[in-house]
Amino acid sequence: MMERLIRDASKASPAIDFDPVSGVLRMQGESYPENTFEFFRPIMAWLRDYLAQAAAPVSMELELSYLNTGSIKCLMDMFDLLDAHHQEGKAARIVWRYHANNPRALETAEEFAEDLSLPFLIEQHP
Amino acid sequence: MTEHKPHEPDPSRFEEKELEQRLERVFREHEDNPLLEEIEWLAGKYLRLERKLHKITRISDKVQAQVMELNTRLGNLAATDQLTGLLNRRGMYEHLEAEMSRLSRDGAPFGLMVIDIDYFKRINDSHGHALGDWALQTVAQTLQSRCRSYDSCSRWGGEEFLFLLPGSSRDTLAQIAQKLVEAVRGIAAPAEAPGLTLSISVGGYLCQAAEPLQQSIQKADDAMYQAKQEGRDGYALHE
Repeated sequence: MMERLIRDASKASPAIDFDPVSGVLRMQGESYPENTFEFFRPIMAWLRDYLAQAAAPVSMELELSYLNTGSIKCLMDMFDLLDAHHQEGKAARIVWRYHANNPRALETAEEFAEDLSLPFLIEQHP
Repeated sequence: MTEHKPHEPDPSRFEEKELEQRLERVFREHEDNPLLEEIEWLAGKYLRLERKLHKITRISDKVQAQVMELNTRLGNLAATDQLTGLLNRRGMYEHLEAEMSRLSRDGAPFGLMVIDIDYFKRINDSHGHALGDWALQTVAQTLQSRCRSYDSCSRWGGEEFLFLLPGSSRDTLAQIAQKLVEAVRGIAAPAEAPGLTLSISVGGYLCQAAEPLQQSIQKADDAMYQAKQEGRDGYALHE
């Protein structure tokens, strides 16, 4: 069984809680680490390993208020992995939550959702 | 799932066309080359990367635009007086400094007006703070609506307002001051304060040479006190 992946939020990086038991993969906060790829490498690796053996439905739940360009790239890579998982006939979805005081964040979410075939739910939270 | 609005076509679409045309030519001219499969794979990979790059850039630009918008909103909030919606002291200072440096650069004079609500303390004490707030808001709106679009209006503190009037002369300053006094004169309070009417005293100063800001504001303030001494509900200009 894989270990749960937990990272506390820092000023420049989001809190991460990927739970292999429930299949809920959460990321929350702002993401602009100084070395974005360094930060996301182990997270990507975990996700790749997890998807290779995940039997239960996978739900990636995101609440990200700021993303630097590197983080956008890494997220898209993760979404591609999830999308491939979904195309193999396995249950996977993405839930994108954005804050009501930043309505333009909806546009960003829609842009991410485009070209993906898996369910991409966009929710506003108060 | 939400619906997606179509967006501007990427410039990469043109490159895709070019790539397709090149591939077609290679396939036509080198039909039997065993490397064709690899070339096709690489081309597909290249196209996907190109699309991804454009998407990343689009999203990144959107995020950037959001941040800039939020920054502007925060900046405006920090420069605004909550009660009246006019500039606050901090916001006004930026305008004042800009105008003062314009004056020292091109010698363009500007007017300053200190405006004080007459008997404000009495209104507040005998009718309560809610009515005091009403007086501040009403005077602020009335004054602002009589100013020109390029004038800057601020609540300078308490019941005192400071206005900056770029490109003024002594005459225009006198005309505007007169107009402001008349606009506020006789505004009646709501029913809970029967018989109460508002008036203001205005002090104006035409700033024609570079001097410390504090000094110019003091001169407008002195003129306002002169207007008070002359019986309020009027204006005076500093020499």
